[in-house]
Amino acid sequence: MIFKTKNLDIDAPATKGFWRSVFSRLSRNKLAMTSGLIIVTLTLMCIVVPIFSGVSYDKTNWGEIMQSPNMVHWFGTDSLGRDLFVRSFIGGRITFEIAFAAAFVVLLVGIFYGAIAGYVGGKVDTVMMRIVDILYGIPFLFFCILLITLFGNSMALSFVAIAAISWLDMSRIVRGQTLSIKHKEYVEAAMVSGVSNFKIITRHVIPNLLGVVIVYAALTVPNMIVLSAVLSFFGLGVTEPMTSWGLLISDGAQNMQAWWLLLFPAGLMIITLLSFAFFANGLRDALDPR
Amino acid sequence: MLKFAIKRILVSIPTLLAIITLVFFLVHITPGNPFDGERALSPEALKSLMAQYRLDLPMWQQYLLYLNDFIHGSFGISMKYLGQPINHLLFPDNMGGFWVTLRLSIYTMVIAVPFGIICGAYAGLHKNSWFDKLVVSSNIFFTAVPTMVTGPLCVLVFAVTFRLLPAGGWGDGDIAHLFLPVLVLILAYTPTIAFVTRGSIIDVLNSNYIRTARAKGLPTKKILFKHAIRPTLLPVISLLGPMFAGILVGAVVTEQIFTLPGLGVLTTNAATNRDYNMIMAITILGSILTIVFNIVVDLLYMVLDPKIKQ
Repeated sequence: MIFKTKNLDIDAPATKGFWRSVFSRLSRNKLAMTSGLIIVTLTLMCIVVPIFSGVSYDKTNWGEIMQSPNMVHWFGTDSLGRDLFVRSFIGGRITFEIAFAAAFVVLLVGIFYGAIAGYVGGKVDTVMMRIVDILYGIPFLFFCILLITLFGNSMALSFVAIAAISWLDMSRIVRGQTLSIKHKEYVEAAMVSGVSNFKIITRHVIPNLLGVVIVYAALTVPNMIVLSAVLSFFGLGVTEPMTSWGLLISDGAQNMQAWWLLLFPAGLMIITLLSFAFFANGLRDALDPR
Repeated sequence: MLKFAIKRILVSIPTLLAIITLVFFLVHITPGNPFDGERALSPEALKSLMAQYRLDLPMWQQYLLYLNDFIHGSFGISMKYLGQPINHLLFPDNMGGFWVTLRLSIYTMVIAVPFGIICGAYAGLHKNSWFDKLVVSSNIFFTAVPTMVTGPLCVLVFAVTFRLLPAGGWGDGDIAHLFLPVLVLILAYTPTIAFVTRGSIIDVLNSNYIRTARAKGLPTKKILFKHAIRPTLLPVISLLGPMFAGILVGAVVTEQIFTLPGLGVLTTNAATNRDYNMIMAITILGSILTIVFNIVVDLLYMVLDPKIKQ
């Protein structure tokens, strides 16, 4: 028993060194760092702009309908005279909220489902993965719409519905990784010393999945942004007067003469999605230098 | 080959059954039905409606009857358009419903697959050329940015600013009306196909048997078309299975953007009117198509890959 704590300590510096070298590789990747900076800036602006601009996002202003971008309204105004700049960022806030929350649920469900299937193996694994296969056969968007129609069109429920069926890829990836980790010496050592299965999964398997999980998380957030935006095109998800990028874009697509209504939200969304793509690429390269 | 095909089809039947069961019970276990709410119905009217939709029967009977209908090729009756069979709405005699979506998907596949493969192969053969860089970067861009953003932007440029093409609508299904929707879909899916082909051909050309072929003095043309083409196409073929489901859904989104009278409109109407039967039908139809297409892809794969032949 005396040796136990000492032995555990030997591993600690090595892990630290791994993450430190990952970070130094990442910080040398200019494209990824710029993208990360853009994501942080946009997130901060989505929080700050609606608070400090002093302009209401939902108050109708009949005197200022459909103004093109000018010094007062930087992004112009919409058909109800509302300031598009503020609406873009409050929409961004909702979009980010849904995307991050859904991505979090996806990670949680995907990691546990995949780790359990991969670790327990045998019949349990077969059944669990068969369920995933079946769910894969259902076109994602239609199933989402079905769930939202069933459980009512509220924002919280729509993101639960999105998350409930988006964890499939995650669970497959995690399962594959778990299978390879399972046969590593340290896990076998833990099994031999009588550590419980649950503890092995949470203490040994999941921490070693982190690399894959982080990269996949960075890819899940933009997917969630797109999906919630697509749902807005079907009139589901966020509803007026609250707004989201998807709703703003679909609004802009119906008022093409007012180009600013489409161009600004679409531009913001493109910048965000590309930033996430580049950042995830950089992360993957940093975690797996080959 | 035939044996494999039959086996493959038989294996997918339980999957389909599981999907139908899942969707059916999801819909029927959830409390409430489309008839309570908005306008108040007299008890008698409600009762006859419930009877018409079999909602008064025990759930297992409803389920078996639904399966029975399904085996006989019927999706039941729409809850919004009272008494209208869903089959008539999904597969109308004139152009509309599923036919629009199918046509969009087929046009997209027919153009995007060969075009993507050719572009990808060219890029892979000329690695690090400007064209190669174009393929790689357009893959990053179009996998990140979805049709729901590129679609409206295309309309803004081609239809509103330059007034070259109609902004939406089906017309008579003529080229002018179909050009933009199909273009948007092709833009979305070609780069991925090209990118996978590029990676695949680079791998194949670095392999030992190609080096051997080259060493024994075969002309480049012969190496490419005789030895490299099959293994290059394998990853592309396996990509197409999941991609078809993507194109189907992508076509539905594109219909929304260009106001085409396809599955998209039916989905939206069904969602806003809580037409459960309709959404169930669309979801199941989508699943069937995905499964069928995956079978086709598996068979194609077997034809191309001699290692799988039993």
